[in-house]
Parts: sequence; structure tokens; C-alpha cells
Amino acid sequence: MANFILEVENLKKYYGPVKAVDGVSFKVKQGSIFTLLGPNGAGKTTTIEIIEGLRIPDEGKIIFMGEEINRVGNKQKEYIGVSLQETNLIPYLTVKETLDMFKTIFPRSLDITEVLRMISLEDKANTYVRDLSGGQKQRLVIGLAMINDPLILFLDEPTTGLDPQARRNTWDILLELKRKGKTIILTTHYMEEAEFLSDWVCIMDHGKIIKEGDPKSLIRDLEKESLIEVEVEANSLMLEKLTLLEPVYDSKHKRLILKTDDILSTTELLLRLSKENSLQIKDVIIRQPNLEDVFLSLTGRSLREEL
Amino acid sequence: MKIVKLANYLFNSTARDRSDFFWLLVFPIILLVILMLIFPSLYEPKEVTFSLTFLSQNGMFSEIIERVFKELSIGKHKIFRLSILRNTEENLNNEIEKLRRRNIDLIVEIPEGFDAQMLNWFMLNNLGVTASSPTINIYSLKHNISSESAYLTVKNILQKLELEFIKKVGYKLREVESEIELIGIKSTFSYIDFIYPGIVIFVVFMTGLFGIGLHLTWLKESGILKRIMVTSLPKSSFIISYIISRIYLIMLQITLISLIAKFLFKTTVNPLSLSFIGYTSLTVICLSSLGFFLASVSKNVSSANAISQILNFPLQFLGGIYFPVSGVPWAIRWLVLINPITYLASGIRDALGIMESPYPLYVTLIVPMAWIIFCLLFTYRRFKLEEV
Amino acid sequence: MKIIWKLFLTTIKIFYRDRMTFFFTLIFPFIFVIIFGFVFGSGSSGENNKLLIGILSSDEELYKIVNSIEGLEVRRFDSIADIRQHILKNKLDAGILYENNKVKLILNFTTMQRNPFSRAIGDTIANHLAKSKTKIDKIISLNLNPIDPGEVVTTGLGYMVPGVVAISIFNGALFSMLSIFSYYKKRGVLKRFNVTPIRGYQFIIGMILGRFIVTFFSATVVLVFSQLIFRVQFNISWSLYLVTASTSILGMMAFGILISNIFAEPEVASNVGSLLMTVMIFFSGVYFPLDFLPKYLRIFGSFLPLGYVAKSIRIATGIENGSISSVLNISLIMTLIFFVLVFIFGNKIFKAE
Repeated sequence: MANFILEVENLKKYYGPVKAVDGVSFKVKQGSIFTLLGPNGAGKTTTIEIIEGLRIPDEGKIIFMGEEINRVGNKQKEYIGVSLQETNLIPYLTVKETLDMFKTIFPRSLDITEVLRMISLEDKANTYVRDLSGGQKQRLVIGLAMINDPLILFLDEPTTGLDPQARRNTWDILLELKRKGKTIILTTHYMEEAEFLSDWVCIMDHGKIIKEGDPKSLIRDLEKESLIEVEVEANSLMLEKLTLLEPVYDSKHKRLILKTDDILSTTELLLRLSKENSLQIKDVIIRQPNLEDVFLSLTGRSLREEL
Repeated sequence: MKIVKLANYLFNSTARDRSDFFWLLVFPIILLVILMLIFPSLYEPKEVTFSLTFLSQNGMFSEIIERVFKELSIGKHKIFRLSILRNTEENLNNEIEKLRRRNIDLIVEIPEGFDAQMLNWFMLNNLGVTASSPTINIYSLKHNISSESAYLTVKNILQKLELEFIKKVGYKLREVESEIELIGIKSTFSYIDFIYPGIVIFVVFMTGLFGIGLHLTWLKESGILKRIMVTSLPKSSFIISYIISRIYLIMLQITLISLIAKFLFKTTVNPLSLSFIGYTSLTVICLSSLGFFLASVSKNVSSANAISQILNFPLQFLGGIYFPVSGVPWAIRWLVLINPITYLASGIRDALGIMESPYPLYVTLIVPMAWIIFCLLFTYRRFKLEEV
Repeated sequence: MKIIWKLFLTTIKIFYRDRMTFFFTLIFPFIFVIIFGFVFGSGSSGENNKLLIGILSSDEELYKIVNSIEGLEVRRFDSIADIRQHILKNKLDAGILYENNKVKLILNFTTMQRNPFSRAIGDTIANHLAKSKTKIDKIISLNLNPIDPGEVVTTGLGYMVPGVVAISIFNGALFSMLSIFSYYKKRGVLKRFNVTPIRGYQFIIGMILGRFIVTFFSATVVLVFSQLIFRVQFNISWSLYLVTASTSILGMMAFGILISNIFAEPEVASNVGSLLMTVMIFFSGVYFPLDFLPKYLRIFGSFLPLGYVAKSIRIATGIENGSISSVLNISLIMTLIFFVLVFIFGNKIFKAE
């Protein structure tokens, strides 16, 4: 039997009529990277902040390292490391001082030089926080999350707003943490990130988990080998004829996605239909399915809708 | 057209910023109101009633003096709130303690033997001998403006009384009147007429420092300036738009202040007069240039903010905006003399007939112009070098 | 304890690194005392400011009289125009002309501002002239005893220094609370601490203690340096100063906590703070006398805490005599308010939603 370090059952948090978290349950395996994937406003941050002890749930059960608790208190906070979605640190402290200040708070902690090495900020140790770049600041935030050598790390959108290079660096840090046996709970709206890092993904939408599994099996569940994606005006006649190919139409981006095992004949069919209906097809892409498609097929919306 | 549109956006971005809105548009009005509450009372003291303790003796002369003070302590327009006590050491000490605590403003003490000495003086005077003059002790509180005013009032009363005594003895006095002519101000002094052009300079100064200096630095640091520069818009068009947007801002500020000065405080200054418009324009150009200069020397917003704050108060207070400063000691007079606001404020007040300028009129024009040339040349050079 | 100590040290570090706070708490009060000291300060305290009076060289009688009056120094000029020009340029404080039994005092407006009592010179001289032909010099002598409000004899500038210390305390205390309760809260700094096992009281004590020490230190630096710069000597009762300065800091901090909880937006809170400072500078009687203000304004001024802070520091520095018990009462009230507010809002600081 797998060893679950954290279990959440039927977590609920309502803000008036808004059901921010609406009955979420999941289990996190020790030493894994567990991801909450979903668009902005899906309830990821609220969920994760409940487990971090920042918010009190209206309902639900949290089992933390085998112990059932109402809410996360100081005892649990010693074992977790947190990187908040938006962290502002004290601008007039240096990197080293910031780490040192947080180190003092915990009874158990890592050596500062060790943390600096892991987040590759050794040469910035004496730089003021206000003078760091976005990527450096984010690495420092992750460094703070690991300063107490936590068992579980909560990282809320750790790569949002970073350039690809900085994102890659962050991923490397997370993978190294995983190698060290840490459990990581991640939220993201980047499907590549979820796909690349996660051992287990929960797809969230409107406060609920709508699908979960390991990324590969989630994608496999789409049961098709390839996807054909085109940009085309909506046309109900044409969609009708394509029913067999399980068409998903993203009306916002005017993109039609078809699942197929036979790329050639599907492409031919598509071209013929567009000619018959005198529709123009643009920007044809043939690719492997990914988590984005999983989300799209579940909700009919794109993950990046708001972006 | 594009230029005007961009100018609108630039103006809106400032007007919608809560901090800018407050400090550039609301605060000057609050300040004007505060100044109008405080300073007129300092320059044109209205009726004041002083609390006076009179420590008296039994005797003819003491009673005469006592009566004079009593008469000045009755009625609606009384000068004193008088309390008359016997002169004992205990009373004196108590009253001095009261004075220290500012419960009373002044103590007039008729010392023991005063009446006898007075009598003696008059008798000897009849014989043609000049005796030493009897003394009245007055106790005032240092650092207290009420107490010192009370002293001057009492001194004046006692001097008049002395002349009466001299007359009684039979001497003929010269009737000497005294009058005051204030120079440095023209006609009667009205603080609102004085402060109104000052506040106008103040708002333009605030806009120069914060609405231009800090704002432009922020545009530079945040990359917005770069973003605008990479569009097809010519550099000159942006500069014109920016200037137009600041002119909007300044016009709005000056209009608000003028409405309040005119309708709430009834200034007699005509904001549409040529000298007002002329000097105000010079002020706008000069202090905006200072803003551009500031933006071109500061590396980032925080240094711009620091420079602005450091410049802000000394230039403001030592530019004679709120009160005349031409007579300050040399330790800080140099700050007055290099300060463009000094000349702008003196110039506009002289031209409006509010207050004579200690500097010739041409100097009040030349110094600000020199500042304009210096600031703009410097800014232009920086601008060229940076290519931003 | 270790955590509190660390936060305490951190807070002190931040203070000296943040140029703006540093400026407003340490430099700004000095700028104010210099400006107001030089413009307004010298007038009323009778220090070495002899007034320079210009008269016409032809008037021998006037020369003798003016010369005999204490506190006046005479310069003689050939023409009235010359006198006026000198007055306008502030090379003379006033001019006196005597003609047709009329004494005319020509006074520069700025002289009157610096020394409002210069207006009385004309009357005094008129009085001397009136009796000059009578052979009677004077019947009654007036003997003025200026009483110092305290044990210490000081100049107008020196009298102003405690007010400046009060401003420094107000700035340091108010804005430090705004930064913790408003800025740190809004910008998520508090949230970051909230996910650690730190306890609310540890955070509050560490932060406030640091700010407290920094503010106390700045205020004391302002006090000591003002003594040096303006060459004034106080008779500081250090124990009383410790009490008044400390409790004043707590009281002003309470003010800051209140403001930051009323105005959630840090920007708004800080603007409100600055505005309050402006109002206090003008209406608390620290720089400008309130004596001639309309009554309602004097009452308003008496509610502003800055005046009390300044007063208790004047008492602690021996500039003003006052009952120690009233100082201690005010101190006690300020401390109580502080602890109540810290208890209410400090408890809220790390509460989960």
C-alpha cells in the first residue's frame, strides 16, 4: 500500500455565493510531485492555502502525515515549506539575511550555503532583495520554502511570469528536491509544466476536481494517437459530419481539434468538407495530445482562456 | 491628433493615480486653507484679551495705576482679564508659577515702598532735585508670544501714564504722535493676496518635482518610455504630448486654487491680469524644466523620490512662498539666493502690487531664465546621450 | 526569544537602509528646525539681536534718544531714500524719522515677522521725545523680568528643539506602524510569515521593538545634535526623557496602527499619515504659536497629540516647568492605548481566513 503523506477529503470553502472550493478530495503520495492543474480561478490557490493554514475550510477533513486535523497549525507548519503565488519580501534585506531570518523561525533547518547552492544564488548572497531579477526572486522564494528542510513543499504557480530559461531552472530545482525525497504539491496553469514534472495531476475547474491521474494515463485516456488542429469558422454542418472524430471546438480561438488514428484520411476529409462548405482552413497542426487537450475535452474551454 | 490623444492618456494616468491626485490636486487646497487659518492671525492680530495679574500696594499712586488697568478690563472690548492681588511674596511666587504654566500672560508688580518713593520723587522734584525713579516690576514668559504682546501693551500704557504724571507736575509736553510705515509690502497687507500667488507657485513646483521629475523617471524605469519610443511616433511628438499633458494638469491645479482664493477667501488679485499670467507662465516653464532636469539626473524612482523630497522643503520654505524670507541670516541665505522660487515669488508679488521685491524686476526674470536654460541644456544633453 | 531578537535586528537594519524612512525620521526634522528657527525663531526671546535703526544724520536730537535706548543700534544716512533702500534690502531693520511732532517708524515687513515687537519702537521713541524738553528723564522705571518657562535658560531656537524631537518621534513611530500593518500586510510579506510556525506575538514584539529602538535613537540623536548645532544647553532629566520619549513613541505607534487599520490601502494610509503630519506641524503649536488663533482652532490644536509630546519633552529637558504627574498621566494613557490597540490588531495579524 502506498504511503500517503497528505489526504484531503471533501474540502469546501465558500465565499458568499462563490464556491471557491467545492468538495475537493485527493491523496498525495510521499516523495511525489502532485499537481493541481487548472485555469485561473479554478480554486487551486484557495485549496492549497487551506492546507498551508492560511484559510480555514468551511467543511472537510485534512489528514496530515496520518493525523487528522481540523486546520493546519504551527505544529504542521514546521514540516511544510511554502512558496506563495505572489511573495513580496522585505526589499532592504539581502538574500542571505532573508534566508537567515526565516531560518531562525524554524527549529530544524538547512544550512544557508546549501540552500544558496541549490537555488544557484551563491553569487547574489549579499544582494538586496529589491535588486534581484524576477527569476532570481522566484528562486529565492523557493529557497525560503526549503529552508526548514520540509517534508512537503507547497509551490503555488512557481513559474508564472518567468521566461523559459528561468522556468527551466525552477523545474531543475524541483526535480532535485524530489530526488531528495521531498513531496511537492504544485499548482500551475501551464500544461507543459504539469506534464513534465508531475507524478499525479488533479485537473480542477470551478472548485472541483474534474479528473485525476498520472499525466501519461490522462492523455492515454483520450484514446487517440494524434490530433489535428485547424483554425476555421464554426459551421454546424461540418461539425455534424465529423462527429465520429470527436470534434472539440474552441470558439474563442476558432480552433477545431479532431482526434484520429489515421492522419491522412482525416486530413483529406477535413479539406473536402471545408471546400463543400466554402470555409477557409488556416494553420493546420498535427500533434500528439497533451493535458491541454484533456482539459479541453473535459470542459470545452482552454486552460489559458483568460490569458 | 495623435499627439493630443497621447497627451490625454498621459494626463489621465496621472489624474487617476490616487497619490498624484491627492498631492497635486487636493493637498494644495488643504494647505491653502490651513495657511489661511494660521497666518492672518499672526500678521494681523485681532482683538486679544490678556490675562494679567496686578500685584498692588496700598497707596495713592498704586491705586491710580490700578484704576487705569481696571478701566481697561471692562466692557466688550476689554484688553485685560485682570486679577488684583496684594503684593506678598507668596502671591508673587504663586503667580510666577501660573505664568510658567501659561495660565496668565503677565504680572505687573508694584513693589513695596513704591508709593512712598513716588511721593518722595514729586517732593524732591518740587525742590528742583531729581530723585531716582521708582520701579515697577513686570514678569513675562519667554518664548511666549502672548506674554510678550501683553508686555508691550502694558509698557505702552505705563508710558502714557507717566506722561500724565509729568503733565500734572506742571511741565509742558510736546505732543508727539507716532506712526508706522511698513515697507516691503504695498498698501495694506492681506495674507490671502500674499499667499495666493505663493500657492500657485507651490502647485507648479509640486508638479515639477513629482508630476514631472518623479513621473518621468517612473516612465523611464518601468520601460513605458522605451515602449513608446519604439513605436513609429517621433520623439518630438512624444515630448509635445507629454508637455501638453502637464499643461492640462497645471491648468487644472491653478484653476482650482484660483477659484478657492477668489470665492472663498476673496483675494483682490486678478488671475487674468497680464502680470499674473506672465509670471505664472515663467514659473511653469522654470519649474517644469527643473522637473525634466531631475528626471535626467536620477537613475531610478527611489533616487528621484529622495532628491525630490530633499529639494522639496528647503526650496519651498526658503523660496518665500509662505512668508517673506529675504532677511534670514547668511547661514541659510545662500539657499534663498540660488532658489528660483525666491525670484518667481518676489517677481509676481511685486508685479501684482502686493509686496515690493527686494530684487530689481529684471533680476526676477533673469534668474529663473538662467535656471530654464541650464536645466533644459542639461536635459537635452542627457537625452541625446541616452537615446531614450 | 531567538526569533524576536532576529526580527529586532532585522528591523533596525531595514531602517537605516531605507533612505526615505531615514530621511524623514532624522534629516527632515533638522531641515524644519533650521528653516523655522531662522525665519521665526529669533524674535521673541531677546537674544543678541540688536535692531539696526537708520536715521537722518541731520537729526542730532533723535540720534541721542535712539542711541540711549537699549537694544537699538543707530546708523546715520544722508537721505530718506537711502534709508528706505537699505531697509528694503534688509541691511537695516527699521528707520525713524521725526518731523512736525510726528515719529515715523519705517519697518521692513520681514523684520516685523521676525520680531513682531519691533512695531513698538515708534511709541517708545515718541514717549522719549515728548518729555525731552522737560528735563525729566523718567518718573517710573520699568523693570522687565523675562521668566524662563523652565529651569533652563534657552533661546527661541532651543525652545523649538523639543518640538522637532516630537516630529521625529511622530514620523518614526507612525510610518513604521504603517509599514508593518499596512504595507507588509498588503504586499503579502505578512502572509509569507504566516505559513511559518512563527507566533503573532513574536512577530509583533520583534518588529515593534526594533522600530521602537530605532525611533528612540533617532529622536535622541535629533535632541543631542540640535544642542550641538544650535549651541543650546538643556538640563535633560534622562529618566524623565526615557519615560516621555518611550511612551510618546508607543502613543504615536498606536496612532499608526489605527490609521493603517482604517485605511487598508498602504498608499492611502501613507498619504493620510503625511497629511496628519502637516496638520500637526501647523496646529499643535510646535512651530507656530497658537495664541492668536480663533478659539475653535486652539481647541482643535489641543486635541493633537503632537503638542503633548512636545510639551512633555520640554519638561523632560528642563525647558519648561510642569507637573511631572501630568506628564506621567499622559504617558500612561498613551501606553494604555498602545497596548489595547496592539492587542486588538496584533491578534488579527496572523489570523487565518
